[in-house]
Amino acid sequence: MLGKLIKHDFRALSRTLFPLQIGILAGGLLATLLTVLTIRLGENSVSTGANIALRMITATTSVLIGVAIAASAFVTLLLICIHFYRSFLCDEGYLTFTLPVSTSNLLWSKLLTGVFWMLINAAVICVTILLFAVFGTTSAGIINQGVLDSIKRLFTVFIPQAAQYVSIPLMIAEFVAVGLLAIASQLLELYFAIIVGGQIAKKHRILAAIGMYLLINMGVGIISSVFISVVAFGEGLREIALDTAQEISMFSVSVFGWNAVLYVGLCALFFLVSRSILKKNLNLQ
Amino acid sequence: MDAILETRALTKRYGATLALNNVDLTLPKGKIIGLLGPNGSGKTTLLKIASGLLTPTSGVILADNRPIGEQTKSVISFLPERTYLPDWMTVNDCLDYFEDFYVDFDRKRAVEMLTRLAVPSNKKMRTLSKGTREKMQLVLVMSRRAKLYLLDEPIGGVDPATRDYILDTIIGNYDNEATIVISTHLIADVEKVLDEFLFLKEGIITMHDTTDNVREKQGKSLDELFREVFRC
Repeated sequence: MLGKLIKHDFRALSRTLFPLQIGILAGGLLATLLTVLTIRLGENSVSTGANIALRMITATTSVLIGVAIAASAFVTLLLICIHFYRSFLCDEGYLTFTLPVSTSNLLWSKLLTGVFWMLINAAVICVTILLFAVFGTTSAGIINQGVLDSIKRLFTVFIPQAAQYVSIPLMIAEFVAVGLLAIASQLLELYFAIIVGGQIAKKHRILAAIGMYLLINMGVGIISSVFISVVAFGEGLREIALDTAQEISMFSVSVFGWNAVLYVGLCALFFLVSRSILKKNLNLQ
Repeated sequence: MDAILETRALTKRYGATLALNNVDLTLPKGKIIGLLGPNGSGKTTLLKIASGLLTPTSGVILADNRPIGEQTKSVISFLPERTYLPDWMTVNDCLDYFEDFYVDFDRKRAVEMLTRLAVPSNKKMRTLSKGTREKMQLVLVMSRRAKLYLLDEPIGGVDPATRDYILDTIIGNYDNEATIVISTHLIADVEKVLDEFLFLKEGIITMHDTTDNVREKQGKSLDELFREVFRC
């Protein structure tokens, strides 16, 4: 049943999130084009009034598009939360909670589809920024060779250097795992706030959910700071001067690892409490 | 007794309001039962608890001899008062959805009923009228081969022609092994199809009998009895 839930949640989310990601890519390409135009107008033309106005328009447009692309991560998260809210707490909840599926599966489906779309959004933003950096930042030719050289240096110089001190596959695996767990923990925290908001308020449930999120987030912030501080002190990380690549690598691996532990704990906490509320105290109005 | 729905001392409170008060109830298999009472008597609350949408404050409720949960939801087909189908879904999407989740869903039957209603399969829910969306929900719910159908006010707020369509659909899809519970306060319209009835007043079951008994022993129609019992 989980597969079927994921299929239908994916379909519901794709309806809004797929066009949004296409829009980000298109916006990124437009910003790239406008920035190139601004750069070339600045270099090649005399400063006539019309020329200055055109440069201002293209520059402003590309900045606004850049801001919109940066905000797309928030919009993606918002749309995922709206889908969760509608499926669980609005009229659609009558459909959701009469399905012959377990509460755990309902939550898993929302979590996995949410994480998937957050990852897609992150990938789209990265591709957009890369395209902008490669094609939109030079007036000499089409491609900015400097950016390509920097990327090349990352693989030919920096990574081989770092490989002398740490296992690169392990580092990448840790990075991916911590990233995934951080997104999952963030989504589950939001879902939990929405569920609790729906439980405590009968009318202004969205406001209650926002209030709950702020409170929970504050608590999570305090717990995270205390946890990381305690384990860092425990491991003697404060003794590390972070002067050498070896020390930085050791510090990163340790902090990554403990962050993963923290996120697993938060994910488990939010998932289990949310499931318990939905299972034992569901009161759909 | 072969019961499809059973409650023992079932109670539901909304703050200070007692919506269901120690309800003891046993509904047999293979009957059409009217859950009758004025507005606010607890009819919807009872159906929502049985469907798993509300958690009782106290007491026990069993459907098909099991506590309410994943398994009971696979044998209960619930028609709520409100429209719950997402407005972006097409008629076909809704059929896919029900087919995916309910093994007892008879798609062919649903398509036949929708064809009779002249509802195009590619139409989105948001483009359908409220009445058509309600009929669509009824078609989906009645196209399941469920053991227990819980229909909350299926004929409330619709014109007499639509009422006839709805009741015909309910009866036309009725399987003798299944039980249908129809919650309503429009007694005259449904009494001809009911085998049994329950009167619910302020969260208490005040009467549970067969409609034949009312007619034969009391010489009254159910509508007349309802008006007598619930006179303001």
